[in-house]
Amino acid sequence: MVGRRTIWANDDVIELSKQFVAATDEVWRLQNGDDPECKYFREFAEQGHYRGEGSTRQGTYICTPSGILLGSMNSHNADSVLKMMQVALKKYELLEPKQRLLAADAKILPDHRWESSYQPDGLDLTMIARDIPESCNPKDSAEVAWNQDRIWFSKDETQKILRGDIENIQRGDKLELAPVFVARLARFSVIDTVRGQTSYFGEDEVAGSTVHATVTAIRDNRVHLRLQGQTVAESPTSRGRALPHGMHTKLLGTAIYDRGRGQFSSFELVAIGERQGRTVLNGRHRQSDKSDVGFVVRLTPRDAPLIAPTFLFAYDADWVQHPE
Amino acid sequence: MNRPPSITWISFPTAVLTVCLTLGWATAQEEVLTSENLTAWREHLLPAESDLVWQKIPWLTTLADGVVAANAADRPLLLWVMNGHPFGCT
Repeated sequence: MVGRRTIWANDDVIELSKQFVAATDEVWRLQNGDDPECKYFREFAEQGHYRGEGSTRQGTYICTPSGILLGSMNSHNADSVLKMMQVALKKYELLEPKQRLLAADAKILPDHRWESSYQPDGLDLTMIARDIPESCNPKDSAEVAWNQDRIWFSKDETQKILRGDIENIQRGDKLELAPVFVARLARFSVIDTVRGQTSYFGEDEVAGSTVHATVTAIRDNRVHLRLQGQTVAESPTSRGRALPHGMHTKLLGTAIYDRGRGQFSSFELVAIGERQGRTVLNGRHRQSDKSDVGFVVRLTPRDAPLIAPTFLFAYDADWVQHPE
Repeated sequence: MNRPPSITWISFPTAVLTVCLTLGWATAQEEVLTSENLTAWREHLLPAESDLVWQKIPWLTTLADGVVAANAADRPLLLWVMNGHPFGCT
């Protein structure tokens, strides 16, 4: 995620990127999958900066639409990336159209993408995670590292998030939120991803997590809610290694549920808590064993790109389409 | 002369304390999340404009979409790939 601020926020890189078509994607699937999109990627990536070494193919690649590699690196140095882009542009101009463009019979479209499981009538939430400094310094308006992810619910799940007689509830009534909501939040979302991907928690590792809603107003079909709760997640391992880690948070927020449409028209939850330990990949190996973390979980903006939740593959949901 | 209280009459340490208490930072381990400071916490945690500069680049969010668009525009493809989607959790 460092690249977001070191390379792709650089003014010169942004300006030169206008000479390209820019795309971004998740690399694990591309380097391991069997469909045409993944094979297309590996054709040029295997000639790139890692060339068969190591287990990752992360980085920046520049290629022709036909798949000829023009440059690649995995760097946080904007000047290096800028130079690579300049060289690649010159190489591109030297190629004949027949060399640089896709052949008419080329196959690059994927057979499966996790985004295909998106539920347009469901609930699409975005989670933002950020560290909270140990001491309050107003000059540090916020810690630099932050991360994000999505949480998805189907239409059916969304309409069952509020447990109770939703048609006859009154102001002041208290409703528990469905276990599927609480578990998905605690296992996959309110977790320590601030500095990188982490492991998700097992179903039996989030006991004690609860969220309830209190009805604060009812206007026509719109039920205004105050959300409150906690997440408690603890695991002794990460990817099979003995790495005890956990996350304890307190939650507070608001939501508006539209009974007529069966959807949330507003949803915002803030979580403040403490992380403990580390996982294999989450970048905490040089940090203290405990620190404070904050989260915001809210409706994904309508104009946001369609991105699948990281752990969608682990959802206990029959609407998730897995690769064959 | 009695002056109305204003930030100019608050010493710097007091101002710092005010900000901390507004956000519930009485101590690092005692964050208090209340209805009163919920908005302040939210604003503190959400990405600032400076966090989102990288999104000025009009990224397409799949490799295949990028290849098709690059082919149509006859331009090279600039591809950034990470473990975890850069627009998601990476």
